[in-house]
Amino acid sequence: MKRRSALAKLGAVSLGIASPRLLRGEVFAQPYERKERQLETDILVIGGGTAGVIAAIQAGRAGRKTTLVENGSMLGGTTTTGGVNFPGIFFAWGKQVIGGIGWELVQDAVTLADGTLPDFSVPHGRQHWRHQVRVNPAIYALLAEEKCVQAGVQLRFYETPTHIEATKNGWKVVTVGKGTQTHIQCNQLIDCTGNAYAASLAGFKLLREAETQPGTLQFKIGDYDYAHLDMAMIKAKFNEAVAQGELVKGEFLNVESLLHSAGDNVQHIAGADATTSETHSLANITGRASLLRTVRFLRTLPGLEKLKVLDMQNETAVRETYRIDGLYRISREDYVSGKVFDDAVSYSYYPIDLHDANGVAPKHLEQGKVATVPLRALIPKDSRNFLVAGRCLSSDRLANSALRVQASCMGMGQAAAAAAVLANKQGTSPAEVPMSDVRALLEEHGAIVPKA
Amino acid sequence: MLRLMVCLGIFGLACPSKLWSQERLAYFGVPTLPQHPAVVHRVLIDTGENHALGKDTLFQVVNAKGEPIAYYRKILQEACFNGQCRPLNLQLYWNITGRYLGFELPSGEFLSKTEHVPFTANEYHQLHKLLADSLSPLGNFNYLDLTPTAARKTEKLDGITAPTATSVLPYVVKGAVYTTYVLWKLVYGSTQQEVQRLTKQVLTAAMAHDMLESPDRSDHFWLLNNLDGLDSLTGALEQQLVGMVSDRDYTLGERVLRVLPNRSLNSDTIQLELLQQFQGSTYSLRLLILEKLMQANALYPSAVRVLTAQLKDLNGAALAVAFRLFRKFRIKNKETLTEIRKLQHSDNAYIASLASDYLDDRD
Repeated sequence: MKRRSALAKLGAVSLGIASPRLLRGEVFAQPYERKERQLETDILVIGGGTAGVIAAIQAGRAGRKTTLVENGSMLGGTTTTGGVNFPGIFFAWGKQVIGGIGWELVQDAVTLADGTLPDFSVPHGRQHWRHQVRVNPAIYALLAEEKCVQAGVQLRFYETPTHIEATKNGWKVVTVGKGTQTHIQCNQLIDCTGNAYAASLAGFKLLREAETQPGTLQFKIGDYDYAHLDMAMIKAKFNEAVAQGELVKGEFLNVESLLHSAGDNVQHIAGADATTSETHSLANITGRASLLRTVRFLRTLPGLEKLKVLDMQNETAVRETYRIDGLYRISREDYVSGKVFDDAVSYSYYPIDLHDANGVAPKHLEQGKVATVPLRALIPKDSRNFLVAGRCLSSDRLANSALRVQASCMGMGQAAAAAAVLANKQGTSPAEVPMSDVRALLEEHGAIVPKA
Repeated sequence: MLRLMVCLGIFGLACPSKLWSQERLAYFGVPTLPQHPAVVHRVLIDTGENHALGKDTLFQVVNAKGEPIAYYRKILQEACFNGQCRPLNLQLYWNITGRYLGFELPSGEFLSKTEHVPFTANEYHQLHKLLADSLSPLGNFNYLDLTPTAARKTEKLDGITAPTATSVLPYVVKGAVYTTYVLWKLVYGSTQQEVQRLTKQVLTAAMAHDMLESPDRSDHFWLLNNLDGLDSLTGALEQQLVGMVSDRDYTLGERVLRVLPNRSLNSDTIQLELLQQFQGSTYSLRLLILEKLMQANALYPSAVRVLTAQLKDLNGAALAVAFRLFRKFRIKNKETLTEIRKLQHSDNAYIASLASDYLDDRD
């Protein structure tokens, strides 16, 4: 063999070794390039959780071009990914106080699951959970998405804002997601992150308590016979394990309740914060480690040897992080006295419900009292074309402990969207929209607006 | 309504006449149906209670039409006081829907507290009220919860002389915790289900009609939850049910719409009645009414006309459901299409889009 032809053959062999063999139909794909998008929208809603879904649907149904950015994979937030599928209280003292799109979603979810509603005319007394409606989280997520799509809302999952700046006529928002970077120009921006994250990026002041309420990882356990457990022994062993540091004090305040309800809303994860990937990762890891530690311990006790985790949410749900410094700050006194503001846009009905290291002791509202939410509490100071909806509204800590619950956040979501829609139509800012117009739009879409 | 009865005849037929010579204590709430007893049937029941026998007789009081109007059991059971036991002797009454109705003491009998001190009139009244509370936390307590742990260690399973757990106190007659607890458990025990089962067995449309006249709305709920026990509904009953769909009581209206048989919708009268209620309802009920009409076999022209006239005033989900309803029943009449074409030019892009989609589908 001549040298040249031998080298050529060797080269061919080498190439054959170095190149993967392509199967039929396969081709070498070009490396993925991050896609840059430019979008324009009338209303941009950031956060597809409890308030954001309602805000987006309202804005879409009011005929505005609406975009919803959600950093997770589905809608519903606390109700779905957080697993808190009993979204607050919509009736107070025998009357519906939160209606509109939020209740429509709950009602549809109950119907599709063949569920039944509690009798809201029977007072709940000190057991407010009697008026809670359990919804199937999967159905809720499906319906929320369907209603958004039907309202013409452009959904952008897996995206989160990285930059927000004011423009002459609204906001320029940059979001990043899986393989995307999107530049969104909007006229009105509604922050429904629950953490005032967009407000922070936009440069508005935020408030935060030195110690925030704990979060909760929702889960279900089973494979034990509660009726035949020696609860006195279990309590004693549990307390002993806490005292010895085998279990973390405060994570599960009541082992009886944990076993009786087979999981559910029973865990406390101190400092849980959903604001950033880092803080939420920590909350998730802490919540899961707590569950695993507790399950391992319980399985050492008589009667619980076969206890198992039957289900677990994808993330630790969070109660409290940041709040905006708004045009008005709702105080505890405003809340418990049921103050009706001139610019009240929705109701809120829940006990003052502050969870802390000692658990929670709900303080119920007095007979006939129902709190209201003024539009000003949804607008950061010195802002234009910007609103928040959800637990990050402007409020003191105790008022917030009641306002944070989903039904109230739904009411706020719809109200914020109505104000944003009208501001967009009228070429003004939400604080300048006449209240009569906000009321009319909300009522056309089924919301219940307090009357001063 | 609570009232002290001195056995004057509401359940007179149930009382052996020889006892009528003496006054007896009785407390009753408001029954669903008027109390005109004609006969009393005996029904052997398995009480599921922790008696040696476990069987007992449930008395079904029936009116001249053969409809049950009340039930009662003769309770003869030991209640232990300070280590000593005495019989608890009374009649417990249930309404036909299973709710607690009242109690009656045989002649010469009385209820007593610690040291055998008889109940006062106020305490009888209080007991009656406590027993009427179906949501009482007593339902979550077991026998051992009635006394604090420390007291339990004395082995005195006596809720009277031992201190009562503070969490229990608001739900019992002071000094008669065990009596209250036992009676409450009897009222809401297996007999309650048995009563409901027996009533459902003989439920008729006429009886249902009368039950909806009850001043106690829980009776309406009971009926709605058991409406599937009826083979068919009369037109009058259907109209009565639809009339309950109102803003005055969302929960009741929602329940009616949930349980009203779909076959009832195959009537232009019912469809029009529902749309009549639609006009005066809140958003929440409006959506449910339209969704209910979706279950009909056909939408009558009269109903189409009424809904067409409403289109211009509808928004959001209500409009979307109305279009779905028209789409399902392929509504293509001239008047409706004219109204929809107007909506096609709405300055609300969402409404315009719904209208365009409908007209496109039609083509």
